[in-house]
Amino acid sequence: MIFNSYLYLLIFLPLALLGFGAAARVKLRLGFAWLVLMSLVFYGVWNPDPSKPWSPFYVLLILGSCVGNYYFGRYLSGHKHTTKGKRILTFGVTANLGLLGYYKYAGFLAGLAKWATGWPGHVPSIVLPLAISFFTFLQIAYLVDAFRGETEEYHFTDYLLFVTFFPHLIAGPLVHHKEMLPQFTRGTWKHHKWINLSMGLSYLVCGLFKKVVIADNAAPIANALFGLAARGERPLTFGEGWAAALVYAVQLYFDFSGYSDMAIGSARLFGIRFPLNFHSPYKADSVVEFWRRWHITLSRFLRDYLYIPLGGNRKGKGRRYVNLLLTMVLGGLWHGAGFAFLLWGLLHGLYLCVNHAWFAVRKKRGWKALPKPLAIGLTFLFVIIAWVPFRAGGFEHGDSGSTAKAVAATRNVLGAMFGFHGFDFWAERSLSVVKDCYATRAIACLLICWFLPNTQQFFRRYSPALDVRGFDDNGRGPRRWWQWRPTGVWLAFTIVLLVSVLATFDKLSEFIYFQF
Amino acid sequence: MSRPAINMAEAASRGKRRHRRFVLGLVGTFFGVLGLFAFCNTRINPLWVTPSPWTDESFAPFRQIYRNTRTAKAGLLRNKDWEIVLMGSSRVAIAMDPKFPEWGDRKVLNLGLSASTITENKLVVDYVLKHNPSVKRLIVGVDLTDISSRSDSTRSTGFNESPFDPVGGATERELRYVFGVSTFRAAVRTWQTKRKGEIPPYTELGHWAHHRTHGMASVRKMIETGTIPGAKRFVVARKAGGDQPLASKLDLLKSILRSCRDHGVKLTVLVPPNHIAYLVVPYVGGAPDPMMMANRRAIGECVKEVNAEIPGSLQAEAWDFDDLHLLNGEALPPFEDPTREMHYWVDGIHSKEPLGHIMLSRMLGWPLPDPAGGDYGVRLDLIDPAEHARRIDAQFARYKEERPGDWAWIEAKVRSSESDAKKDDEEE
Repeated sequence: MIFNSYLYLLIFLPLALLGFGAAARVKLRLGFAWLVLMSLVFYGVWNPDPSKPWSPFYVLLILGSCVGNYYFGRYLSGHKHTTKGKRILTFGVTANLGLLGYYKYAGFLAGLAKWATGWPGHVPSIVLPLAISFFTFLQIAYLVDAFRGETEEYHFTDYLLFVTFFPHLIAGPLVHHKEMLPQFTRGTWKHHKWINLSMGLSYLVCGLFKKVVIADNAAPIANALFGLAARGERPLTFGEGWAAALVYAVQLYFDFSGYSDMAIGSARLFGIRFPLNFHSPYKADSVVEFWRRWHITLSRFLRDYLYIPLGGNRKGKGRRYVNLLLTMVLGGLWHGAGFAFLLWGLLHGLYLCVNHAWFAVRKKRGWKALPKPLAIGLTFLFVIIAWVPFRAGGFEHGDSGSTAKAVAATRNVLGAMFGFHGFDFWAERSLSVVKDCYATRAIACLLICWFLPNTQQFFRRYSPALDVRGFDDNGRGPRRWWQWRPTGVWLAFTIVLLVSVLATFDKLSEFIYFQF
Repeated sequence: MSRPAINMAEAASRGKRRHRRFVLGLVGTFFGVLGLFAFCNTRINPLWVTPSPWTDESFAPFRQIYRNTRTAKAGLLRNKDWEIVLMGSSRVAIAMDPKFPEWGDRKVLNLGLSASTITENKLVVDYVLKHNPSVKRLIVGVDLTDISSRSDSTRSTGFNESPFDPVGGATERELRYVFGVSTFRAAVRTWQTKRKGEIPPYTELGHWAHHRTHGMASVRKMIETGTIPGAKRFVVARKAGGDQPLASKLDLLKSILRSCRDHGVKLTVLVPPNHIAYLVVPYVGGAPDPMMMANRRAIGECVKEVNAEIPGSLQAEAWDFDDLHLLNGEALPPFEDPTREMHYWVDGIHSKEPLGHIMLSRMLGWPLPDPAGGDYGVRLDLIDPAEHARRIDAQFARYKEERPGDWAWIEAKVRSSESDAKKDDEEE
């Protein structure tokens, strides 16, 4: 089920809320059990092949994963820092990665082996279970922390809810047990119910607006241009190349941050606060800063459970750069098995290395930082260059996926952007796949990213998310007139957003991050 | 000390009231708007998918389905048991008249869907066979260009939002029809159409009978700005390697043939015509196999193959009207009277009902309404491909001879430079 559906908004969410309210009145844990049940329904309606009957397999898979990890975790918390515990941790992490690896990478690796050696012949396609990348990472973090002695004795229902809670289940934010489970036990839902409802609903509407009105209108433009690039019917023009990259940058940001807003808003209706996942990433003035603002919870996971265990910056400069590169390459492959995602990860790894080296040189020589607008512009340029292979990675997925198409799309778009196909702005009408004015309109949405506050800044008075104070531009500070309050003006504004959503809310469009 | 505590309690209570009012306002508006949509959508039933006991059937002749043809035509289909269903792209939607007197009292539905490809029509055929047990005959239009193109209309035409889509969630779809804004917009348009006594583009039988020129009065202009650029795009695709029939598309055609045969439904595959102004663009543009003879041959072979699979089974037929016959080369309106309508053609790719009547008469063995159509169309499953090619070459020579002015104009327009296209853009 997806947030931008009538099923979710008209039936599922009201039912989940009313049921939770009624059950939690009797007993809090009964409310949690209700939420677990609803979350499994939310997950279970997914059927990868609707031409075949629905199967409980995927619900059992996630339940099995939860049960296994819960008991591994309990065992580990009783054997922290012991050799036996380490062995069990290794086994648990390997089992999780093995499951993820089988579903996500077996097909890719078998394809590579077949290409190189002719073995293993026909490779049947493997259906990637929805959200497996997300729930596997949540639980690996739990196991590692259990071994480190950083977990408590959680109740099984609470643990199930932590993993399966529907607002974050499908595409994050990648929540952490330390920030979720204490909220459950504190029973935060009872306090400030009306504040939670008003804020949660408004946040949800903002997320819907970003996804339905902006991202979904940008998607056909980016799809048409990247599709043309992948088919290779003709080289893209200079204007088309830039439009493809810029419109995709708009689509991806509003799609994923819109999804995160909807998740944060939905959770808040139940009195639960999620960690921040985006904080105006296109305002970043360096790639290092970009990764502090983009998909924050994934960056946090990669830092805490990959980069730091690899040695982080504690083992010398050279090793630090190797660790950075490795972390980003693995982060790229987390998004999908394919060369395009690998290239994307590699590019960001290189960016980070160069960025850190630049910081070191600047510090050593006492150079001033670049002027902020220039730094933001340069960072954005490098980020959108990397988005090109990231978008092209979609052509490698699925039964009809092809690496050649992904490579062709990447080359065609990047070639056009850098003038290798000449400097014509747009193709003649009989050859164009998108009207230039539509692309311009979509690109104009970047102004929203650069010149307006982001969602959590609008809602700052009511602390919409956890971890909001780590940014200079998101501290407590004075109250502003433009910050959200439950007033008539804001109600009217929210209704305008809602009506805009309803006016364009006719297509069921999945979120980009569902494929990961 | 107690005073501030009371004030704080008051402030908290006031704050709570404000939040409660906000929530009630927002939720009330949301459900209020959707309630209004649901009432209008079920009362007017503009797309034929939201019937209810309180639906006002006086809206039926005014229903505005133009923007939601997939959904609405599926609604029409599930509204009644049809005996004959006409399918294909907009070429079929416009030319094939379900009220042609020769049909008699048979229940005929035009299910032509603009820009549809065989990938979509395969799924629509499945839907028809599943939901319409009374159907006896299907006429399915297959565009020649579609056979060698990877395009798939299910991705971009509203197919996924329609009941035809076997994959999408049915509950979500039905909720959207009842509460959705597109149904509501159609309801408002239908209500306005009825109030003004206007005629909508589509009839209650799914025939696209009115408003077919998109407000453009001049056929030459439509050909110049729509038909020829469209054909040029096709030439580019063919030159880039898209000139051979695709096995995947032919498999879909065979699948349609087998489904109909297995359900005891008589199938006629129809290659609908284009005006010569479209057909000659690949010649002038230097496309490989400009008349797509490989595609014609492949369609004929598919029909023959499936017919031969079960001897004595219901035999399908394939009719090809997309050649250079003079009916497809009807003279363009004179320059001095550019707004004059053509008798057989709406524009360069859509023929009108008079030509549709000839096609139906040829396919179904009815008396010809127009003697000019005596040799119009060939059976692809019967004709020898070499003879077919010779026939088309002869038609081309005859066209150039009989309509030299039109030929020169078309050739000039095709060869016109990029700057002309840019000029058109500016004019628009």
